[in-house]
Amino acid sequence: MNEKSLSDIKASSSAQIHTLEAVITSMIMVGIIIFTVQATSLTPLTSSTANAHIEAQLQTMGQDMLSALAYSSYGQDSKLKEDVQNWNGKEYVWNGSAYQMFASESTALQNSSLADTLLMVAVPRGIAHNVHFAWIDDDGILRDRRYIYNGEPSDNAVIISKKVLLSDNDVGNLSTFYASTRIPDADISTDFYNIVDVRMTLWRM
Amino acid sequence: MKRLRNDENAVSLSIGFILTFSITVLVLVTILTSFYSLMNQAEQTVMRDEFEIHGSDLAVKITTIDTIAGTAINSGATVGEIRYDVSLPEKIAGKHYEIELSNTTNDIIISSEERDETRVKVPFSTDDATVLSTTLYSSQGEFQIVYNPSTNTIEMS
Amino acid sequence: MINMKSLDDSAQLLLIAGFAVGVGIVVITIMLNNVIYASNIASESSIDTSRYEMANVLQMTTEAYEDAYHYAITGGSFDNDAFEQYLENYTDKASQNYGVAGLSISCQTDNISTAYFTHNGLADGENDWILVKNVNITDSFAFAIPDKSLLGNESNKVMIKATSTSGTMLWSMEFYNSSGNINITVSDQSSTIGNYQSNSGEINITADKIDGTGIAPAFRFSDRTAGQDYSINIINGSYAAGTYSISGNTSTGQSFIQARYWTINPIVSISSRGITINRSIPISLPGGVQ
Repeated sequence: MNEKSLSDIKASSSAQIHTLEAVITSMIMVGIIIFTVQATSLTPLTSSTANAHIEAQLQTMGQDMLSALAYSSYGQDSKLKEDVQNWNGKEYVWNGSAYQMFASESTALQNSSLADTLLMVAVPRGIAHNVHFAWIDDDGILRDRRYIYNGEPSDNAVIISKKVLLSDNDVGNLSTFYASTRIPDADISTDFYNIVDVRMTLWRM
Repeated sequence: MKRLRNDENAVSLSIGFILTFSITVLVLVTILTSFYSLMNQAEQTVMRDEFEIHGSDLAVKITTIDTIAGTAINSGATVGEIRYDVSLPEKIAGKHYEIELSNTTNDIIISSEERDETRVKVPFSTDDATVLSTTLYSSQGEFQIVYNPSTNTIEMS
Repeated sequence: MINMKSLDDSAQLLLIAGFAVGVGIVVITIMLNNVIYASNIASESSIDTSRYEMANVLQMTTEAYEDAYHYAITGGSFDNDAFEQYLENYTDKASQNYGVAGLSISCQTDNISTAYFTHNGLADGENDWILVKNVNITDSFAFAIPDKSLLGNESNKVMIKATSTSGTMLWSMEFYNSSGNINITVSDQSSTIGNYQSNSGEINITADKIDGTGIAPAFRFSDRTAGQDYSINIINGSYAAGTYSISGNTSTGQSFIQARYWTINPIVSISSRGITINRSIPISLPGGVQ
């Protein structure tokens, strides 16, 4: 470059425009990067294509847990049915070492095969879980109440459900059972009580 | 002479243009063909992947039917009907394909009509029922996998 | 200036090449996206839960029939109306429950009928089967064959057998139809314990009674199986029809009780968007049969 062109550049006021252009360009670039990162932010809870396989895995795991509990041998009630029978209508929360009652922290969940299985399978693998008991009420609406509750599930949670039949003789005292669990007797005339849907929600933390 | 020299610019401009143009066309064609063959390869990979996915899907359905039929037979129940309705895409990567079920090798073989490279084999296994060998074409769109209790066979149609 | 222009030409070249690359990338991305989409669809279908739902429906329906039977006999005799009413209520509730999950189920009930001594209680059921396994103590074990016309003759003997886990036969009872009477032979591992005749076909193995009266020599069932971990098998079960009941404790300390007075074979159908299943469920009443 010769002396003249150099002085030309020095004298040129278009450099300011260039600088402005550069600044605007960099701002647009940064903006786009921020936008892209925001739009596709991959947190551990984001639904992604890889999660479909994790969901399949959780589904299988949950099915196995409930299938094992639903097994009944030689005319005995299944463990799952016993859990529904033993339920006192209270909500339980995992506190890091045991399932304790939500309303009173000193009371732990006793005699629950569901809790035992979850403690053995889900807790060591860091799988968060909720268990609800659901039923259809007289108006045909699905109602559910929490049995074990650990918070709102993420987007890739899976629900595994197993239905349990209750007859009047499974329930024992009908009015006490209804008062504590709010599961109604679907049929007063016969011994049929209701069908309870045990819904387990599993998700990765 | 000086005029001619001045004219030189015009000459070099048109030659330069022709040269640049032909080089552009040449390079463009080369790039496009190289991309075309690359895309062709990518297309085949995609077809194989999709065939494998659909094949595995069918294998799962066959096994499910076999499991359900097996438990029914074990408990001495009579099976009325076990049927899966399956819908598969008519074309994958713009080509029709065929699905072959073989009970001698226990494989589901899926291949595109015009390309041998896309042939994919997915193995399946059944314990109780036997799967009938058939060949089906994707143009059908809707398929059924049906268990036949009287002959204890699974047929896809 | 001319030099600059020719440079501009090669910029166009770069631009075109850039476009070609861009189009290529877009096409490849769309195709790969299709693969991802298809694989997601496929993994959705691999978590197809229809077989679990099927198993659940079968188990629940079996329980419903057993409970309905219990309810129907509360008045002393079997009340068919009560039985059917219970089941109707159950079917209603079950189809509501499954309707929420996107499955339609229906249950076509059947009449109760005489049970054969086969695994599922039907005439064409499994002939040789295990009544109960890993038994420690059998508290009661009795059976009755009211309809002797369904009992096999000497060439088709029915056998009840207690076998230890190691496979040795501990105790066995064979019976067959001998011109209107039931001919019974009881043996142990080495020799015959006794031969008996029964007319009305009521045999109580643990109480050593035939047709309600005591017998000599005793069957010695408890004696021969004491201290063993054994299973009770039935062989040639399709050659006899009647009722049985058994109770006791398994070697794991659990109590077991099972009985079969009747058998019923209702048809259950389940259908969802993808799958249609339609099968019968042989159920033993009052139940407990594995």
